[in-house]
Amino acid sequence: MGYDAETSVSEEDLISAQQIIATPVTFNAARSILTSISILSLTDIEIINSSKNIHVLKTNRDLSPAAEYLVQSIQTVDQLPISLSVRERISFNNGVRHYWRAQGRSRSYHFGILLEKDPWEKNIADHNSIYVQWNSENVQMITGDHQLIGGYGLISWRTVAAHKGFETINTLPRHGKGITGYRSSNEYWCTRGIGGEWKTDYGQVSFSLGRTYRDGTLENGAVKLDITGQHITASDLHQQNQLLENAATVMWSRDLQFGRLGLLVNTQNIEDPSKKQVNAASASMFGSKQWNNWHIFGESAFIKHTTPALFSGALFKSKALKYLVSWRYYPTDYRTYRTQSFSEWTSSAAGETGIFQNVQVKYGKNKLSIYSDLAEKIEENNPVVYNNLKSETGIRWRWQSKKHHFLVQYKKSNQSEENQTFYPDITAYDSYKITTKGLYKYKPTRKLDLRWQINSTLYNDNQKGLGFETRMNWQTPSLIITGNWIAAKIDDFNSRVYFWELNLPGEMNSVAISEDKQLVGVKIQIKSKKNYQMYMRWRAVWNNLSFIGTPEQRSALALQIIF
Amino acid sequence: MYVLCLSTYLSAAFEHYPADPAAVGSGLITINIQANAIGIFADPASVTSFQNRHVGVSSGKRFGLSLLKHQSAALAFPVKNGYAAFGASIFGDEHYSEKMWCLIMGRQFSDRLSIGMGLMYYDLQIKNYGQAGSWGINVGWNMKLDDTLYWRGYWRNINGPTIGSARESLPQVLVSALTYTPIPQANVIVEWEQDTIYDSRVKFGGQFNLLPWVTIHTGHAISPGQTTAGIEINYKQIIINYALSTHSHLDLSHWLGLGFSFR
Repeated sequence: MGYDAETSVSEEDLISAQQIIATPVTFNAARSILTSISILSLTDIEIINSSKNIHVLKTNRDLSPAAEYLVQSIQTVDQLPISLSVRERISFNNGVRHYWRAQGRSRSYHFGILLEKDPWEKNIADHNSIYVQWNSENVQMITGDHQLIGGYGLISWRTVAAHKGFETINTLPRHGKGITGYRSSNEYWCTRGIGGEWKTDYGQVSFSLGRTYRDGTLENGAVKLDITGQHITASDLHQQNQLLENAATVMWSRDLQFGRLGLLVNTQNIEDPSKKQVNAASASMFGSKQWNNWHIFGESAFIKHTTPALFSGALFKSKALKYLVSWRYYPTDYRTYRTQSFSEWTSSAAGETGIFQNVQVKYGKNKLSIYSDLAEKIEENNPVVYNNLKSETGIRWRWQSKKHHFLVQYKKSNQSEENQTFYPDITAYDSYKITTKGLYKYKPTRKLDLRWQINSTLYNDNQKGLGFETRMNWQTPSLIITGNWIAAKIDDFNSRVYFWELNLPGEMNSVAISEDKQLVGVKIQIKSKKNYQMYMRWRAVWNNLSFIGTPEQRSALALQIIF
Repeated sequence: MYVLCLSTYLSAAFEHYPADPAAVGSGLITINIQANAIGIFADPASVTSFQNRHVGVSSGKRFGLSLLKHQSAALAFPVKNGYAAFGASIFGDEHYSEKMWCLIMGRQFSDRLSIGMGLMYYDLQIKNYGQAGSWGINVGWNMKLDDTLYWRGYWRNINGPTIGSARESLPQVLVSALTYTPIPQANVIVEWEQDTIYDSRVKFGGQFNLLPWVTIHTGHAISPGQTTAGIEINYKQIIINYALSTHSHLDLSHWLGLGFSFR
């Protein structure tokens, strides 16, 4: 889908994509799932919503590559009274990680159950999540773990923010759709309680009432959350479930003549065992408008005792050209409830202001993408004092035919390390990083594809990293075998390189290589006509370039069944 | 026992779970592949295998030590809209004993999916120290992948029970297994067991119907390495089975079981 190995896509999107690929669905269910996937562009969403049936959708040539891949995977059925998918994944890598998920629907009900245990945790249900959702034409109710996704991430969003990169042009203009059952294995993001949604003639109203235990402490009136999700050491266990959050969120949105408008209000109380409390309230207004070829969108959030947070953008679309510009201003300490804004710095104390631009140009089989971001970190709410500055630029060219796929990419980021820079003098940037990537993929037949990729990193002129990957994917009647070999020569942690792991369903892991290594891996998928698949992955890692010594071995197994 | 306490880390009790000798003989697996009533303790979803009332008893000694002897009994039967089972087990001797009671309920949701849940009561008694009890919940599943392949598993003590005034955690165990029937007379099983305190254990084994009334079992488990063997004799509605397992440092362990199916 064009994402680099350093990026992250929300697990909710992965799960929805997996559901589309692996589970037979009705056409209406397929449309609902596809439109919930945040990495699809607004154009994709328009096409999906306007398609009358699956045939029309599958024959549409204007979908993005990601949307087309998903659409072509859909298996539709007219009716599906009961459907259940169960997946288990066991990973052996410095301990054992266990993951078990069931998702199902029966007539008007959807449900989901998740159990997960991280390596070395002693509780087999350390992370447990369950929800039951009831749907009718205009009303939806959820009991259990859920999330309310609204606006553009300033107050209540999914587990990861829109990522900065070549595909941001698709994800940034997407606004949140409302209430949804929580399906992520991110342990600290869900709200546990009840939620609902009601479509009326005056708009869509969503609400969430939650009483959720969270890991962390209250110190000097501030909430210090432990977001690792790990419960291994005595210190981890001491903070586990120590905070009780009571939260209420209401959102209203409506398509009006001049555009879409929405309001979101949240109030939150967090209490620790000694009855110390922190209260917070926030509200935001968001909207979007289509004006000729321009789509304009934005959100402003209001939190007590700080200046408002502002986010806005404009997207221009034509057949061959897409252009996005976005501006943001976040004051210090503005983050609240489930903020996951589009930003460079993610710590709760840091504010920032920044401008982001992204262009995509298509010409025949060529696709050129350019992005740039200029951001300034705000550590005091004083407009005269300038703080860390970071600029990032990237350019990518891609050429794709049926058998050949070329990609060349260059990214550069500069960051000042000074805490303060006084206007108008611009501080010389203290660190910079250049990453380049070259990829060639060759698909001689439908059942075989080969890929070669080279990644390099240069940090501050003297720290270099270079990695090379060869990957093969081969389909037989009953197996799909994927193998890869990665060799990397790395000077330092700062010049690390990333490659995609041989991911099992539901995974989106990358291999970050920060020292000289050789890695060899294989993944085998056993195909079956009976709606189940089995997967195995094995990897050997040598901590040198000469294959000396006993390699570290990692493996994983997964089993998936659909009823 | 005193030396063991001094020389090893002893977590709270109930590491030993009642097991059907046929499963033990197939590599110390805990999945109840032969549908013996004793197997419902560990594998609650297997309760849906009992289309008739079935009673089972078993007895044995771990590592040939009389202070590690065990006896178990269970009754499994169909009920309206599902299946149920009761069981009781005792492990140890008059100085140290672990008693376990269980109530298992299960249901078949389709010809491909069965779910079972068990409510366990654990009772620990140590002479001159006292007695403590705790409740545990086990959940299991049995899914038919195709005509020859099944995926089975369970979670033991999913509620994270503790015991005693010191609130010592009882073992929590994850098990996932695949059973494969290449021919009607044989089964092959691979089971992965993860106790949250110890290393993973992979076990594999097989069963073969030597004669219509005789089945032999064999298997192996790793971490620690143990080889097992067993035999089962079916005579009308009576089932008699025996299994043994080796250990690299300790004596043989033995299991003897008797089952009766009411038709």
